[in-house]
Amino acid sequence: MSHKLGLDDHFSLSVEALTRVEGEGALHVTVDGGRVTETRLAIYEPPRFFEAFLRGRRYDEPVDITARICGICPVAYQMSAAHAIEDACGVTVGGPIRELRRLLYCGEWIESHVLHVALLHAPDFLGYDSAVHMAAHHRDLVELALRLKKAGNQIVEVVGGRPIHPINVRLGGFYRAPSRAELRALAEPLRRARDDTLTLLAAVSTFDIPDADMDYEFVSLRHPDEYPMNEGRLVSGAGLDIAPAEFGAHIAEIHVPYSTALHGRMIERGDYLVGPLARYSLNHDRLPAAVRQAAADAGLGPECRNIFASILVRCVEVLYAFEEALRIIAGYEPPDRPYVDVPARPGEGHACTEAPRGTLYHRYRLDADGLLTEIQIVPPTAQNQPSIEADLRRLVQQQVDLAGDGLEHEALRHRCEQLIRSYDPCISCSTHFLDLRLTRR
Amino acid sequence: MSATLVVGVGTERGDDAAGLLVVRRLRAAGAGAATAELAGDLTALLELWRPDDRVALVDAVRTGAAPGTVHILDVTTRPLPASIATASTHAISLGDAVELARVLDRLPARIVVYGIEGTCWTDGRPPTGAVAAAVDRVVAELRPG
Repeated sequence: MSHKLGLDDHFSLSVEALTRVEGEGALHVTVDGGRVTETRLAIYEPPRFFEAFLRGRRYDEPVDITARICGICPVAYQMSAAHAIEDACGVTVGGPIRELRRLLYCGEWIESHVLHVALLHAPDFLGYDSAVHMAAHHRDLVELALRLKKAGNQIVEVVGGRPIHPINVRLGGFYRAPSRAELRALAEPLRRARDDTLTLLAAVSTFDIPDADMDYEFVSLRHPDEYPMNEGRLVSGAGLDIAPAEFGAHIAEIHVPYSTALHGRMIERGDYLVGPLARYSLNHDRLPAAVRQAAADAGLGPECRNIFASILVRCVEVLYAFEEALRIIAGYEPPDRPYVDVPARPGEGHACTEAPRGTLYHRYRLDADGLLTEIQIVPPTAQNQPSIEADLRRLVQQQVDLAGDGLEHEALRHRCEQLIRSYDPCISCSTHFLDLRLTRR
Repeated sequence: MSATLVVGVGTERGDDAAGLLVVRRLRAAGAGAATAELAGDLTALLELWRPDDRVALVDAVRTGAAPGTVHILDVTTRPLPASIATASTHAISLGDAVELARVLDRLPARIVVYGIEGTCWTDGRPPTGAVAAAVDRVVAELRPG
């Protein structure tokens, strides 16, 4: 049964859980007298639990424990934890270990982005309810995506010890460094995958992507020489330019009563956006020329402000990850030791790294015994929540304004879901049950 | 079932760990089958099994049945019922991953889902007593000999 929503209705739209989103969330939209008065994205977010759980534990434990926060991006949690605790201990990791960390992150970007592009997001553009329905008619696209994901898995397996939930990462580096031969064996499959990514990018560039340019304040890491992953200053298009240690002085976490996630807000200006759009737009000049050309061929300029076009930007970042992985493998010389020592000392450390979904901030305070006394974890989805809500408000208002003789309830639900999925929110532990409730007064 | 591959699906969130616990118990007991733990992206299943495998997939589910109920469903030739397929906790659900494999002609020779009915999904909590007992039953079912 379809519901029609009249212009003058007071109604609320409740999407109790979101499909094809990594996490558990619920959306509540209220429209009163034809005006959208409230959008609330209520999510369950596990970092709050982990912050409490880690207090009193040893300083070398968060690298493994925080990896359990997300089934899709454990490497991001490992990288932010390792860099922040090394910062507290006054240790900087360079050389081949730094390169291996970057290679591992390439593997995760590929796994996460390809999953989202081809199996979670593409069905929205091609008019299917799910990847399963899409696969029946677009088998080549799905097979291609599975090959790309497998290539990402291979990187994570060789560097991280297993393809999912890597176990080879420790403070200061790795338990074991791969041999040159092990990495060289990856080169040929990765070259084929890089070429396959151009095919994926070309296919996605034919999708009918809605126009929706928005005036986001983009925030991401920026590094002097490279597209950002593990290092750099946190910058924005509105002039933010800070070290990760200054994160808390510029970005506040706000508690909202309807969500266990804290919302990130720029203290000076409010909403901002992290993730592929921000990373790409603030670091386009850090991409290799071949990747910039591929982006241009797909119709992307040096900046992209349309959240629906994030599917294209993710493809470009997959292409970059393969190029970067091949560069690292070609120049790899194994380190003398797979890790550097990180002796504990009292103090505080900070790190931002670029998770597939955007900047992931970690802060740790250690006491003289190397025990953790304060922990702060700010994931990208929490930072993007105010932007998602603002976009939803605009989308629903636009749909209500255009409704004419009535807006179909199911169509509105679908558009809202599609918008939320464009952000690739990682809320962890998702359910797949959609309940739409309409209340009229 | 005499499985050649047992995959435990889940996270360390209360009863969601049921599948992981079954796999760890089988591994500790030296069971002959290959084992794997999965969380997050379940399309990885398509890379885990081989065409001639007999696969047991163990996951926590939420269908409204009594806590600790073990739903045993052979999905070799038919999909998971919607009530079970929609209860999983992952970006691509267990049911979707199986159906994706079916559409792509990448199902193994036999595939049976053991869905353990859970009630607690809280980070860091141990599984409830009913689920722990169900884990025992599934381990006994899958242990060879």
